Amino acid sequence: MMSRRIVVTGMGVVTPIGNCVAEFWQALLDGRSGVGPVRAFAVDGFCPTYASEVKDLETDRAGLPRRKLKVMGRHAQLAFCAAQEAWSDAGLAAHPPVEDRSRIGVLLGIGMLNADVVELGRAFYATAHARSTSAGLSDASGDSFDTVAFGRWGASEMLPLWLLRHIPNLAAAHISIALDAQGPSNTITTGCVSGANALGEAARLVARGAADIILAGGADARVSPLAMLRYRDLGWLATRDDIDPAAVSAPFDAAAAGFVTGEGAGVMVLEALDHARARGARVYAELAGYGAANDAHDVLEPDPEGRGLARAVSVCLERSGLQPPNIDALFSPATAVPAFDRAAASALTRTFGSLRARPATTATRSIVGHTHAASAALDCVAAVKSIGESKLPATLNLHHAIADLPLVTGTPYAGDISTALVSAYGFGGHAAALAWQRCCA
Amino acid sequence: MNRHVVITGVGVVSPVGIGIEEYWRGLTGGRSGVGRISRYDASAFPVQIAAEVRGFMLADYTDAPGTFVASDGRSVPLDLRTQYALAAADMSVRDAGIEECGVWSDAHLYFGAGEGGNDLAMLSRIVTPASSRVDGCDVASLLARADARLFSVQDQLIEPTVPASLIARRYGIGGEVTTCLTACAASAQAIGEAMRRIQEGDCDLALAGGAHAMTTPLDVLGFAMLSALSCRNDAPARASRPFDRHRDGFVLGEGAGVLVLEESERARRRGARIYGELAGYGTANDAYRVTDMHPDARGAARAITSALADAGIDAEEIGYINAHGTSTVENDRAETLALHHVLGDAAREIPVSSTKSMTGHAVAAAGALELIAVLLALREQVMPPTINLETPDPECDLDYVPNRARAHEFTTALSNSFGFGGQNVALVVRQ
Repeated sequence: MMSRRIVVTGMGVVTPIGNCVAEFWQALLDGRSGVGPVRAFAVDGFCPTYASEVKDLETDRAGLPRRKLKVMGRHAQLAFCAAQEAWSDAGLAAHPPVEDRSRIGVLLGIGMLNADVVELGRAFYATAHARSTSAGLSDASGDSFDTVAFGRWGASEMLPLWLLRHIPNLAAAHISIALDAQGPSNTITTGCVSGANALGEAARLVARGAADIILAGGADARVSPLAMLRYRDLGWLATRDDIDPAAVSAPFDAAAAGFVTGEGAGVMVLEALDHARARGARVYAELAGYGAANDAHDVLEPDPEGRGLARAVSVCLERSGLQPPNIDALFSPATAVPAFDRAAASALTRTFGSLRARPATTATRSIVGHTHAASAALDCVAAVKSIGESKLPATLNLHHAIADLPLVTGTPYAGDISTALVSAYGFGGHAAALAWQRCCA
Repeated sequence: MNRHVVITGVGVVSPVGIGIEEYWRGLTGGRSGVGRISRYDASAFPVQIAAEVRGFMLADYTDAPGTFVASDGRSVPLDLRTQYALAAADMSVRDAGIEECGVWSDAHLYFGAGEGGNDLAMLSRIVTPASSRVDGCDVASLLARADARLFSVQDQLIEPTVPASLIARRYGIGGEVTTCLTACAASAQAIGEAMRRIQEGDCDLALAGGAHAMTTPLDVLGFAMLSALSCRNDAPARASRPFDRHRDGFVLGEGAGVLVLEESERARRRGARIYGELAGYGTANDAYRVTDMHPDARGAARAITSALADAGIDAEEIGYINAHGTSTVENDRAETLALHHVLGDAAREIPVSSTKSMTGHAVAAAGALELIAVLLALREQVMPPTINLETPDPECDLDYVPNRARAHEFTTALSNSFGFGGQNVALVVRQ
């Protein structure tokens, strides 16, 4: 598939543990958790009272005018800031490409955009209040929604442009506009795997020559009231309130009891190696291969043996021309939802075979929380840093591992890392894997 | 690239007909699928019309269940978008005659979709008691009091990935399963990307298409507030009038279109009936504004140019164009301009029609519905019309096949799909 070699020349992140790559990486090495009390809204009376939020987002520093924030969803703001950092980091802000801008594309993986309950609440209140005082309108039956009252009194309570925050591909559009990227643009979703698929799809586009540079990655913002209600009720959200919130996210641990919901964005500048060389760009690492697959099993539950993940990793290794023993570091997709952790453990141990062939493994969601559609893209950024610095961050909160993998705990693993594999797995049976390697230019 | 991609099965759920025969009769009969919104009382909305699918019963088209049952026994009906997707997928697989177990395990699925409709009654039931006039919803009180028992499964099921996941599960599709969200261009882009997967040898067989149902109260209201929709509430059947001088916006529609894409040798070996070859795909972004097209239609022109180059054909070889043709003042002008730019003198000779004049705009499903219209036109050698084209617009000066279907000999056709976010996709098919 890789007819052109694909490299990373820039990276940008906005995360609960740091709003630039340097801070993010240092926090991963230090094992500094991003989990803390929810700041975005009041949660008294609810459990959990914590989440993994991005703190002190400086949108104006990324060149985002205040008036635009009103029409951008939170995920779009995060993606925009991460993309700006990646663009600058790749040297493209200082030396913008002079050639045809249709050679530059944007490809984002995003998640679901829940309704804004604060705004909707105002509209619902107006709807219900008008209904209870106006004679002649339909009664307040619990099973139907009074669209007449909503149209007459509710709608005017909403921002006229509210829909723009909910059109999924506009996050990528804001980036394309700001960077004048007129090439291919795509917005995809595969739930928690979206960021991995977006990077893989972007690599395909560059490999086939449809673009020279693509800004690709994932963004998600699921610290929202509806997301927390939903995940708690489905049993996926951790609800422990007897320990330090930073100790709750425990992927691969026997006591794991759900994820800590989070938000973030990770964007990479993927570039054709020939193009990067021609402009004298610094090259961080090379994408050796990409694979993706599906469990074809269930919408809410994983295949017990993680069939999709096993297949995605195998395809990735095969396309990379690598064998399991060639992989020095493994970023696992464990989120601390027990059924998924078990399925991931099964798939990874099976695919990597003998104990000796299993690479040093980490689970960054123990530190970052679960950033959903952004999570795998953030792991890719960390993987590229791990190759650059030959260090693999440790997994936090791991006491009794359920996975027979060489999980790094305590202090970061230090040893030569020339190849790192990022695996991603999530709801809907989606799975993907990307193999990154040091680029011998 | 010498692997060719052919289309061997299609399935469609649309406001002008369900199943390809009914769909084609609707299109060639010039039947408008637009009417007053029937599923809820829209009389207090600025826009009260939409193109709804009528008389749809999931069980008539597939034995896939219309209700999702979670492992703890909770059961929630699937939203319309997902039901349409399941029906269209089953029709396409049957149409292609690939129903054997196991055949799909290495196939890919690339789907264009958006979120399913929010259940407003349910949302209102949990949000309203926690809300006040000034502050809107008090989140702490919502979180403390809301009973999310039914809401949570329902909310999970309106995730944009759900139609694709359910289709994958149904056929055992174990290859890549991807959903793209590029608004009005989504299913065209999904089809183009699936075509590449086959060309590049990632798979020999793929399902591609899209489903969407943005006819819900929030969607209609949201687009109306953006001033994107036709307000012709008193004459619904005449509201979607692409390229007509008195057009005033698009009409929201809904539906699903699914296509079976196959590597040509594989299709020939099994003696499959072939609708046509998917020969070209092009995409580009305007990088201009989030809702408006670039005034020179630069992205649209580039997408069309690259689709033609991809198919290795000259402009004159195009025999028919299915336009994006939304019926907004801006789109139809800009699309006409793009066709002039790319096709030059040939533009005036090539008939162009917009089937959105009949189907309304099915957003993420539109590209798939329209490519299916093109394949049927190719098979029948008849072009569906642009209805409601009564008063010519001097800025829209092509042959739009006004009001009546027309017999026409052609072997190659172009289908355009443009959208919010500056998305532009063009697909080329040939006999």
